[in-house]
Amino acid sequence: MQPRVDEAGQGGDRKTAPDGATGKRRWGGRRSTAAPYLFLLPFFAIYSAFLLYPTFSALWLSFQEAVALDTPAFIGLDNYVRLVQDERYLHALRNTTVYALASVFILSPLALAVALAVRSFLVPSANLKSFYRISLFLPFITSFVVIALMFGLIFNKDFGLLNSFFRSIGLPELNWLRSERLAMLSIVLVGIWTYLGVNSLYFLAGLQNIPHELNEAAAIDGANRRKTFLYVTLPLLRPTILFVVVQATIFSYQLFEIPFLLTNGGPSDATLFLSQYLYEVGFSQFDRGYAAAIGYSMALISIVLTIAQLLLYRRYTR
Amino acid sequence: MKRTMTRRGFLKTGGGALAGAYALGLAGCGGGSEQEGSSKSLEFWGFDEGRVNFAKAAYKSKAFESKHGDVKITFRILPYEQMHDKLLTALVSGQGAPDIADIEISRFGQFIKGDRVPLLGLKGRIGDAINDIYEPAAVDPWSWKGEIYGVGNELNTVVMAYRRDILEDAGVQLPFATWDDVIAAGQEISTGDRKMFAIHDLSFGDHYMMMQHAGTAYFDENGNYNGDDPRSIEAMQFLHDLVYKHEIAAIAPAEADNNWAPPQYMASFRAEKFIATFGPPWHLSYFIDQVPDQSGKWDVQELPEGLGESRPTANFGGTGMAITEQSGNPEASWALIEAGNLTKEGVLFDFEERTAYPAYKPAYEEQALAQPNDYFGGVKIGQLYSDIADDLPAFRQSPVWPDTTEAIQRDVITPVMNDKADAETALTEMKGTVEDLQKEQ
Repeated sequence: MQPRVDEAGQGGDRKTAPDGATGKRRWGGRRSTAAPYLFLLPFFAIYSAFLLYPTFSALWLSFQEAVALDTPAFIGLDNYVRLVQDERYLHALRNTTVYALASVFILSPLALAVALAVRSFLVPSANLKSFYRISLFLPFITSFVVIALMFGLIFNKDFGLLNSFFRSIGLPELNWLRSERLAMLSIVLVGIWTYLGVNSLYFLAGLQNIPHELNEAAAIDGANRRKTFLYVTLPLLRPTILFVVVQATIFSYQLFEIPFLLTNGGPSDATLFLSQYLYEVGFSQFDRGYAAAIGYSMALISIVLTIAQLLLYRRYTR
Repeated sequence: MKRTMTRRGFLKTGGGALAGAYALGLAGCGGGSEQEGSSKSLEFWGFDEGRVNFAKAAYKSKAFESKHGDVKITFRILPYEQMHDKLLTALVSGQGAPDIADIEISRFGQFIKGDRVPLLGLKGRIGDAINDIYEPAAVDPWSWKGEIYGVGNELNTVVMAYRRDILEDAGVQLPFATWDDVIAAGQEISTGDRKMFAIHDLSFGDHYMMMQHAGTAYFDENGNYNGDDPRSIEAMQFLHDLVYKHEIAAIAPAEADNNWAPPQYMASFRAEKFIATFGPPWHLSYFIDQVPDQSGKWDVQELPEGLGESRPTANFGGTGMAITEQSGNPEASWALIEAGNLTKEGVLFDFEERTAYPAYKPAYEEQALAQPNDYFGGVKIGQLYSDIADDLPAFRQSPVWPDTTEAIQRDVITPVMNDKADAETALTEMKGTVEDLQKEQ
């Protein structure tokens, strides 16, 4: 028979402490006390005030017409209906999705390649590996403002580093941030620079968890490097790949600072992302209800994509 | 008796505590919004250090101290976007707004959305002093439906400035009488590395100045979109043609987060890639500060003739001081605004500190403003500004002004100035966009 366990997990004797008067089990057994819960209370109070309350308040706001200082009025799903009719929202959604796809299909494979390179014979010394790990992490901890300023100088048409390089090898100068065709590419390049390192570290951690014996066994069985990678390393990296892809997708739909500072959504909305559109609607048009609906649509998109990725992961790991 | 707690009991207690905390918080909010009207501790929010220093000088002035010497004002400087966003949020929430705030001209439209304006009307307080100011610069941008909600001190009359030395060497007769003369001179001096003007493609500013010069504005007197007026289209086409037809201008080297005069823009003038510009005093002050080597080589004049109604000037930029509805002491708040903006002492401080030419007429009697300007070839520039100030077009504010100018920037200025859209089509199609914005209000 399974022994009944005290819910608070205290007392050590794993016996139930029945409440003689009410029949309810007591919390905490013989040394029952409210102290642990009082210690937890500040966290829950802060969590409720600064996370739960704004979250539900924003949800309620998304069902209201709340413009400027006017009294909000309940309008049901009108703000959500407006989303699918709003060309700028759909344009921002398309831009954000393009960036998310680039994060998943360009950034993540590149990060894996860098991780494999750092772990391979290309970086033989342990000290050098550590150096690379630290170097890879640095862009991630650099302020977005600094990154935007730096790439603003690099991409500058007249004085920028990139065009100076192009000039030196006889290529034409490009208007990286001012051309509708190139602006999104520039943002993707900045995203790759910023997140490549940290994603490589995730992959490095994943690679380190793969037992070396499996690679040796594959080699003994005659598998070459390519086959070992495809049939041993890659399948065992699935949890890491899932993690990297999920967080890359979520971060993509939250991207704000870099396009805001580098292109301000321009030229002509070529780099308008959902988060910046939300900011514009919320703080420029001051349409709080609609801005809340945009925010919830972003959350919903991230949740749906994450669930889809989890389902795909489960399907391929059966 | 030893008391123990059930989980349900804990949740009840915790929930009660949270509800109590919220109730207390809400009660606190309510208490804070009460206006006592005679608070001795005020707060001022600004986004520009120079302007906050201007407000501090007003606070220390005799005009303020004689009336409210016992009032203490705390001055806060916040970044531009953050300050306006926080101010709006505080006014919506009913708590946390300062007593007095600087509101930039292009952000004021956000404060008049909806039925209620969360700022105090100043028309009665200004009284007869209205006759002492150039209204299009000092109060129009912060006015709505017949009430005045803010007062600015800057006279932002637009003039044209050019390198006299280079143009004289090229045999150009100065000053320019018409824009045709300007174009002819530009073709004379323009080369692969040098152009007359740098025209912005990320800011509506050049078009806004030129359309006023041509005699129109983005909104008419009834608040309807007016950007499709033939004079506005003519101004847009004129700017486009300076670059692509007459080839005497190039696109200004600006960037998204500094779309007017970033370092590379000023560097281009230092390198003499551009030799002429048009703009208000704050724009010309960038040249004095950042291109000092060219002192004495520049000259200024009113805008030439030949574009629409050819007004001699236009109005561009400005920041006004406003009193919020949450002010604990409106009288002292007004005294600060008055001391800064409606006294000679106040406006002369800002002129000396930031070369801000005042919108307060009596100040032009002062010697400081009548002095020749060494940078601009000894021109009595204060005299020039005050002479053309009466021709300033009225500023027509709108609740959708920020959204409209943003949309014009995005869908008209950038594509037209990059030769990807037709000026007339773009400005005409904008009418639908603006009407949609107005419907959402």
